[in-house]
Amino acid sequence: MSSHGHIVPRVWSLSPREIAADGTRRIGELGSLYRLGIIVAAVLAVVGIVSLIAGPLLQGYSDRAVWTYVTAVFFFLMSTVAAAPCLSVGLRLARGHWRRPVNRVAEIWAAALIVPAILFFVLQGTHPSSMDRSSLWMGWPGAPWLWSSIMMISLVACGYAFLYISARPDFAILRDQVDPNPKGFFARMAGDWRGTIKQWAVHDRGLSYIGVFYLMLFVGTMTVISSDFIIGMVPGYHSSIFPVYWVVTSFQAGIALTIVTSAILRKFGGAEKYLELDQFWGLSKMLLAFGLLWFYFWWSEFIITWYSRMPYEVNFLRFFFFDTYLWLFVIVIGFCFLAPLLGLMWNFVRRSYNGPTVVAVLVLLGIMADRIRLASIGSTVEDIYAPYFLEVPSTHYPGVFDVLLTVGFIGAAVGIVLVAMRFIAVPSIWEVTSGLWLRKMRKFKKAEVIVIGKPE
Amino acid sequence: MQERHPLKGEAITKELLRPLNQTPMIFWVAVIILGGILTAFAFAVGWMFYWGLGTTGLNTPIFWGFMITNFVFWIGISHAGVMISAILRLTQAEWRRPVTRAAEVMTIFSLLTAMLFPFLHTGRPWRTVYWVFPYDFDRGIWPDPRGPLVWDPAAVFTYLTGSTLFLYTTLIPDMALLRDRSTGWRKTLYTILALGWRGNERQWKLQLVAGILLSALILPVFVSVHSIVSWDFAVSLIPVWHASIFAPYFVIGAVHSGVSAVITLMALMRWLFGFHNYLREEHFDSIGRLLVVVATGWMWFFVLDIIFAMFTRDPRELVVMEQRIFEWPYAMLLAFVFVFAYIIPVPVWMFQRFRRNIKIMFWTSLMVNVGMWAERYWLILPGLERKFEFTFMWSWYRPSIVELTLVFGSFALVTFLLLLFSKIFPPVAVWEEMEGVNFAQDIQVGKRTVHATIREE
Repeated sequence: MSSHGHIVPRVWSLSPREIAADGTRRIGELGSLYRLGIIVAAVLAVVGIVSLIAGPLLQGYSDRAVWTYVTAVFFFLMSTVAAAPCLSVGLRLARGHWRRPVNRVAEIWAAALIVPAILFFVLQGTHPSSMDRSSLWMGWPGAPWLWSSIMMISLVACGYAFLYISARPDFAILRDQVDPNPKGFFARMAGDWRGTIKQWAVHDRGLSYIGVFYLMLFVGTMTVISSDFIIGMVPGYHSSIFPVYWVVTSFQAGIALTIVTSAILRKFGGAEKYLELDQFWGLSKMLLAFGLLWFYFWWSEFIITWYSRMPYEVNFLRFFFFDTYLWLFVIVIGFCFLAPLLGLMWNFVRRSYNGPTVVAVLVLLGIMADRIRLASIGSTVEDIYAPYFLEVPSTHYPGVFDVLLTVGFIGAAVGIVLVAMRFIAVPSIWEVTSGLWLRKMRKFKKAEVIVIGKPE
Repeated sequence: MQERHPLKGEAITKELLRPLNQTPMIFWVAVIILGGILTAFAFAVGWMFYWGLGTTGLNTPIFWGFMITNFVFWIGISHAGVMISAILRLTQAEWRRPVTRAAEVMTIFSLLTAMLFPFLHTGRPWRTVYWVFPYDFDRGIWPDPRGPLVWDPAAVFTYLTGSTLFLYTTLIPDMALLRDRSTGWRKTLYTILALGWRGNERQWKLQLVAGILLSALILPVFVSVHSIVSWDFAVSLIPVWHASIFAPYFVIGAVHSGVSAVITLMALMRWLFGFHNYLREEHFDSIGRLLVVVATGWMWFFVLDIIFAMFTRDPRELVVMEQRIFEWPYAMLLAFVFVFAYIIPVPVWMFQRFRRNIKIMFWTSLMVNVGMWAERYWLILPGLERKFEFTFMWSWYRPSIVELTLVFGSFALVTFLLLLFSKIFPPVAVWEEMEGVNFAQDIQVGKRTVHATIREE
């Protein structure tokens, strides 16, 4: 069924009761694929932990290069797992109606925030003092360890609070329909939720406030991480745009992760009625925009460095883009910029399931390559206290443990999300249902049109 | 919540075309005052051309002062049109309708005004053609295409061309409307500008496609213009200018000041033309929300620029930063920027009841632009004074009365052009308003009736 250019979503033909029943069914039923996914993720998590112990931990703290891939996987998880909930916040602020099924897909990744947090605290032990070198902290007492730890803990706590507040109405639905036991999990999580007008008002406002707070914390934490782990580790490097590049490319990765998760949920998670073309179309437009922004922020940094031709700045270019990590950079620019541009510039590709999914997978691979490149840059400069960057280090290659711990910790994050899906409905029941009330099909002159209510 | 105005059809057309037919007394008062300032502006320009740049406060090494600050400021204001019109059109924000025309027009007039200043600043504008365009092929003298001063005109002219096309595309249906309702020279003018518009299905479709295409195409130009202006500074090695964040920082600052200027303009239009039914509180509310996000983004970039200038521990950077943060007059300017462009307006805009108060929105938006002008000055000047070690020539800048007149004159020029425009063309797009009215629907949700709109393709 189509109407003035739009494909009318199938979810519209469902009643709120059917959506609630569908959500509870998804929570209750454990398919064999789901079980297999959990087992694989658990095995990978164990492999990751063993590799971390057998590799970097046993080789000691003194050689920072040993920690390159722990840093890389930490960067990657911060750029994906921690960035995805920001998409949910942004979409809620923009009040687009197509967002409703997507929000939970993005924010469910907050469940895995514990994984990058653990890696962060492991890495804190390897972090050199910020005294006597360029640092964002400029000699603050306790810096960088104390303050960045406070920011990280706040981010993780805020992420879980955001997920909990968003999921609370769904917990109440599940309490009433799946597990009426007053001491059961859903009853405890839903608390006294009855869906009164006051509760909804508090819920909506709380979700907005904590979402915005999470977003701001994310930006602040990523600024600190980019400065502590990369900018401050390369003598003389003081690119003020780098934290922005870091945050924007993380948002890009968060969108890509949400698209890939949506595609998987459509295929294997029984969410094909909710995650339809409208959602993929909207997300792919955002992915295209962020692909263009990727280039803009990279170019803005590159042209300043390239134009100045200062000897130490030429060394940055050789280290970052041309000599040492040329091939990684080629992968990054190909996957993070050219793939979204050349793929998603076509509406027929954007308005499909496979097009955005393929591009999103490429973007995730590109971001992984970018984070490996940047972690290698931050971890392999020998004299971080030198005033200028005069000697370009050689390429750092991964060992077996590096590869295993990278795959392992990504698997651990995926595993946690799979477990979370056992308890939290994805897509959200209440948000999809509330969207139904606000959308109608009407006759307008000779056409059938979509009418959207704007209560806010 | 969306609000509705009570008028329909013909009544809307009549009300929106009223500024073209009726001229209130305040209009003539404004024209006389602005005309006086513009006369002073013209005199200052003539004076400067006759006596040379020595009549300004510029000197060696401070070769860029008020005029370049003003150029950057007006380029920033010109970002309002695309931000409001193109982006909101692409995102199908319903509240854009009464705001777009004013924003687009302001883009063009502020761009024209901005372009004036580099020419004036040369002191001998008729010679600029030699610096920008290839000439005298026999002697092989070419401008240097690697220089940002050559990129600038290319970017600004492209933006001006694109913005003019964009405005014109959205003007065509209104030109046809005016053609059918006017006589004399106006009828001739509107007939030419309407390009034979009859409002058939094919024409509407083409107009829609052109609007969307131009919106999408103009976005990269919009970003590139202020980025290139920022590179005028950033590609040099002058301390505190050589910063990689300058391009996006200038762009977001431009959006901040441009969208604030749109609020100022909306409030003035509401008071001057009585457009209470169209420029409603909900529109101020929506722009206020948008500005909270934009202003916070700008503040993040602003802080990053300051922090990373100190991050280097380079003595030259540090000495200029010390001057910017602790020494008169830059310390005061910095406080001015913080307070006017962020600390007062943003907390105010956080509250809906303030966002819906037109007077508060007017004054806060004005404050932002005062703060943003100061910010441009604060960014440009201190580095040029060269008050660091091993320089044998350093100096102090004090703007002359000529420069002050030019700056005030530029504000008068833009305002005068906007007033003139509103006498010839509708300041609010009539067809967009009518489309909005046609798209307006109501739906029943439980016991409540909710305003709704037809989703655009």
